[in-house]
Amino acid sequence: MAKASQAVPKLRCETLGDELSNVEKDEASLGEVLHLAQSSVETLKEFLNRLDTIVGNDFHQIMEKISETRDDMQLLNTKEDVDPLSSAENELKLVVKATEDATNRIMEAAETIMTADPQDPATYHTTVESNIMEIFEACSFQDITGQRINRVVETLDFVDYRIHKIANFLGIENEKERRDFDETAFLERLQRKDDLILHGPQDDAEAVSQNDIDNLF
Amino acid sequence: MAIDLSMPVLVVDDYKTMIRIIRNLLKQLGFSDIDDAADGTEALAKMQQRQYGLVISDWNMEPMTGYELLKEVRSDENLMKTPFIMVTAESKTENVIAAKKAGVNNYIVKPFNAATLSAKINAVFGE
Repeated sequence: MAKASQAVPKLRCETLGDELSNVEKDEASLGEVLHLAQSSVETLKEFLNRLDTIVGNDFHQIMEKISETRDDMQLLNTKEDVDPLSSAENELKLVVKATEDATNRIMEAAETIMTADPQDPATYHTTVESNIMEIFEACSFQDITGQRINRVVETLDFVDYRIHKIANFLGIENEKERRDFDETAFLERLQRKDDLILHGPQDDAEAVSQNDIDNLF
Repeated sequence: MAIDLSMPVLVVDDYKTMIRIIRNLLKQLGFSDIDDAADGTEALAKMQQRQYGLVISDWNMEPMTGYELLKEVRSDENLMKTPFIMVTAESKTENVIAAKKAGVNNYIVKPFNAATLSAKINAVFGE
């Protein structure tokens, strides 16, 4: 917190200390005692007011950092109404689903080949060939899941970086644990994605269907 | 325009698995001369060395995307007539429109199947 705090101007307590040391202990009058008590109260009030301002400023700056992080995280997202962590969670769910679907397709094709009747060579050949094609097609899930996972990694990398940045601001960061992160390169990558219309795979609800595309052509 | 199955086809994708899948599907469709490149830069260099009859390219690649490759190809008078099919997971309307404006001949959204690839190749060559 030391970095966030403002430099503290001198308090009245220093002059209060001088006043106390100037008073003879055995000869202090009631007026002097009252004066010292009043000075003590004013000093304490002043100290508490300043402490209140300093703590308030610190919290204000922490809030600003959190808000700044939240705003920056929106840069990661192409959907303005969804926060990036929810989006990352959704990406992972879609990866799981795509992997499961592909596995099922591959297994079904393999099972069809296994149970095909070799006694009829022509039918057997057609069955094997079409199911091998099915296996090839199913393997294409890896491309799309790879792109989805890259987006999740990018989000986590950015969150990790911003947490370290806040930790550093609060003075609690362990430098040894700090991973390198090039913010400029990261922001350039985001800009490039924007310029080159790189959104990556979409949800079924968001994507244009092949039929709609065909109509455009 | 009839499809010449012996024409050289260039497949551009940064995922080796996808190149392998498209290669196998093209072989299945009867194409015999299939080359590949891992991104737009490598593809452009190959296209400047050899005349390809068809380019099948992904969009999202580094350092040069398929979209940038398409624009480079369409602005090069020696390459501008090369048929170009985009095969990509970029499935937003703005992507399709941008690719069409840049001169793509057809657009396939991943995941796709052999029938779709075959239909789009046929459409490009007017069959």
